[in-house]
Amino acid sequence: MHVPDGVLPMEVCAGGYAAAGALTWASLRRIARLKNPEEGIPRASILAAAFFVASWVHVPVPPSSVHLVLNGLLGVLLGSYAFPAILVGLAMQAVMFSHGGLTTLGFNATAMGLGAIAASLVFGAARTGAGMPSRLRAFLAGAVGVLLSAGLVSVTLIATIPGYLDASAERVAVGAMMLAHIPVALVEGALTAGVVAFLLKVRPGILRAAH
Amino acid sequence: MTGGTLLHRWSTDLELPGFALLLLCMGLTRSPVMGPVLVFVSAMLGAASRLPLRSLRDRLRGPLLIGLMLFLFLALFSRDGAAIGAARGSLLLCKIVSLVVCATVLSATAGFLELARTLRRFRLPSLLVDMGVLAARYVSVLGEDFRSMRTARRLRGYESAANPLRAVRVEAGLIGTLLVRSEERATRVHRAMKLRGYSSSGMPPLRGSGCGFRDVLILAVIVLLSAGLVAADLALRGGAG
Repeated sequence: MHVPDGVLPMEVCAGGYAAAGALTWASLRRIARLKNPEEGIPRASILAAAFFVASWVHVPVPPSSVHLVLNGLLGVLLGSYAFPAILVGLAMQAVMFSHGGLTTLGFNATAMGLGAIAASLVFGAARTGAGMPSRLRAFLAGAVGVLLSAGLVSVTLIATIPGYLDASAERVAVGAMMLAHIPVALVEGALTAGVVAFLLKVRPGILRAAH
Repeated sequence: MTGGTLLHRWSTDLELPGFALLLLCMGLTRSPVMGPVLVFVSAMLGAASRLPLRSLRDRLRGPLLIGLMLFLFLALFSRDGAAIGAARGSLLLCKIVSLVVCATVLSATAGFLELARTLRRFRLPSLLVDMGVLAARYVSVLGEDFRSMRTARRLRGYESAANPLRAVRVEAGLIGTLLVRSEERATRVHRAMKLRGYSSSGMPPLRGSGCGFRDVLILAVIVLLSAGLVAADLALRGGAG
């Protein structure tokens, strides 16, 4: 889900940076309205580093294995800080390990960040709803986060490929990419539910801090 | 930034905009004939920065795989025919290689922390820069924690199973523990930052890193190179049209 340099046209990369700029501005405004915004900086930074480390985990999904994205879990845990944390984490991955790219950083951050924001909203909205169990809320948040990001990346990748493609091939390619991400979404949902259940038992304050 | 090559010694205040312009101009090329030229330019920059070939190979592996898949897709499904699709696919592959090499040169010669400081000088919100610096500082610490926890888990017989459901349960416990440890570390870091008078809004802007004649000269070469790439691409497209 990390689109590397050179794959997307420059117009899309520029649009990605514009969208990431707007989302960062909106997140910073929300953070500035918090009671003690500076308190969240070390927390968000260290959790961003922890997510970066945790994304090295591979879970077996026969016949292969998938590495974790964890943007849904990041949204659930960091709330308003999720988008800046994703931007920082992706910049670090692009510069230090060439996962993703520098020209595609804005697009990647927007795709993954929107997934995290959606996950945060799903978890928060369901929380205020009538008695949905926390594990189910977390499962939905984790799965929605990955599916939304995968959908954005798949559609953009196929729609902006240079040259005119056969329309049916385009549809099949988008469909195949989305289908390939369904097992990933299920794994991410189950893992988000598992982590939330663990945190509720061990340190519920981590979840309360974000919502 | 100190280092063995001119690119390592180039002031990051000029290197960042210089490389941004070069990456933009490389990305804007449309003529398939420009593909080998882009690869040649990036190879020259790679050689000038004395990038280790092994690290470059590791960094190119993933993007090249995606590029090859897109090449096949374009060659097989282009409405303009296989030859034109393959030509477009080859330009895409060349762009991927050259952009990844140039981005690697930038990150290898400047480094993440120096780039973060430069971005702060360019008035990027200090919250983002501070988050970047802190995350970069702690990623290796947490990575080490994570490796130790996995080793301890294996030694106690909790091997990640082939069954996805059981594997997810085991990994969720591990990630949860890592998050709890990270939260504790963050609380300690926040206390330390407060005691040292940290305020994200009240930080003075950093002074420039100092640019000499040599730095400006390298920037001029990169700007000319970028302009040359755009001009050659426009001429080739005009000639083809």
